[in-house]
Amino acid sequence: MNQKQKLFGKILLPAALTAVVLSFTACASSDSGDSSINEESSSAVTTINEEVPYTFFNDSVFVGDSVSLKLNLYVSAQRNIDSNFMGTAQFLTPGSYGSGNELKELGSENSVHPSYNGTEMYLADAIQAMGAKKVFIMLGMNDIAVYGNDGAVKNMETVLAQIKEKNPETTIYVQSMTPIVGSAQAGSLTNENLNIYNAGLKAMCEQNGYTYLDVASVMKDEEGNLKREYCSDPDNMGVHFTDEGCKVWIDYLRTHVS
Amino acid sequence: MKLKKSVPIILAALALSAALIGCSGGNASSGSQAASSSVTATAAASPEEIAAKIKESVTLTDMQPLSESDISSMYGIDLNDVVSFAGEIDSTGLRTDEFLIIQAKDSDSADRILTKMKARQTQRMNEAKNYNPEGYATVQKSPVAKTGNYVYLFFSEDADTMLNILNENIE
Repeated sequence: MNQKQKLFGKILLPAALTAVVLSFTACASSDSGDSSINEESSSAVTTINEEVPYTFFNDSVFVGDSVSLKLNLYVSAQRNIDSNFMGTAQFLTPGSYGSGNELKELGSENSVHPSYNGTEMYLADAIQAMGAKKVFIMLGMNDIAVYGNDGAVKNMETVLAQIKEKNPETTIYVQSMTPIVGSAQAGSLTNENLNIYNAGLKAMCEQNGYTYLDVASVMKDEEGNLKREYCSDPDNMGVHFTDEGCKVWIDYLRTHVS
Repeated sequence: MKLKKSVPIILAALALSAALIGCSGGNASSGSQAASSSVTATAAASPEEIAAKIKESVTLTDMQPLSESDISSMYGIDLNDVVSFAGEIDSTGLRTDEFLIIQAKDSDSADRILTKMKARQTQRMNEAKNYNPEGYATVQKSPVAKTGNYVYLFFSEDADTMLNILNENIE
């Protein structure tokens, strides 16, 4: 064994292993740190796994509102650099979308439904048309103020049941609704309410066998608000993400699904 | 021999010109635009060139290019209908700014693309109406149309300028 190998074995390797362990510990604690409501157990995926390859998302569709629309745009931009980015994941992310909107009649006044191939359709039909086998859904920001926390969770449960009825082979991943910048909280749209809503989502997932992903946990600052550096409109709506926020989001997903 | 060979070519070229003039006249809700595009179809700038000229004249912030995948997934446009295209979309997800210029393969392709673009306009208006009244108004008044085999949409406060640049470069 030469000097370089000795140095690596005695110093660098232990140091690297320690760094990895510390790094994972830090991540784990920040994951559960400020979300006492959302911690541990259940069908919720809260453990950090080895990062899944982008191909994991090949048969996935991301469903959401304007918060997820930014993820759609981010992924699209990244694919201009790396065509394999997030596999062939597809998106159904109309702005102002919500579970309450989805339950309205297609084409009715103030209804919003996703478009697939240029045709507006019910979510369950769009997922079927796409042939998606994994559904990552994040909704609620446009629902809580209108339907209340319980009503929004109930609406989500109904929407997910419709998806499963039409697409029995799909796996449902429910993503927690991400937080708001502290100064942007208004009316019933507060982080406290979002935490309650997310707790309701998690309980609903446990009852129905859906996987709950606490994306919100990695977006919060020490006070439980959306980190300003992750927010593209901190002085306005305070809910939408920067590219950095999207990167954290995707990193979370890749290490919390298996 | 050479003369004999060239006769069918000339005849074919004349027939093609006549066909082009016939097609554009059929599309024309706006006669002057259609007439000019039919005559200049071969001399027109490409969508990429037009987009570059637009970006020289109009300040577009926080925009990202539309890819083939976007054209297909966001608009539902069949890429078999497309000769070439250029477009950009707001990269923040906060604004409704978006433009797309497509050179279609033929008149039927242009019609199919226009239908998809109009559906996109309706979709964007629908999304914006509940929380973004300015964006809604911008999309509502923005041009979504075709000139010859060029099909375009300009969701922007500068839509008029963009449309003028397009018209100048396909005439």
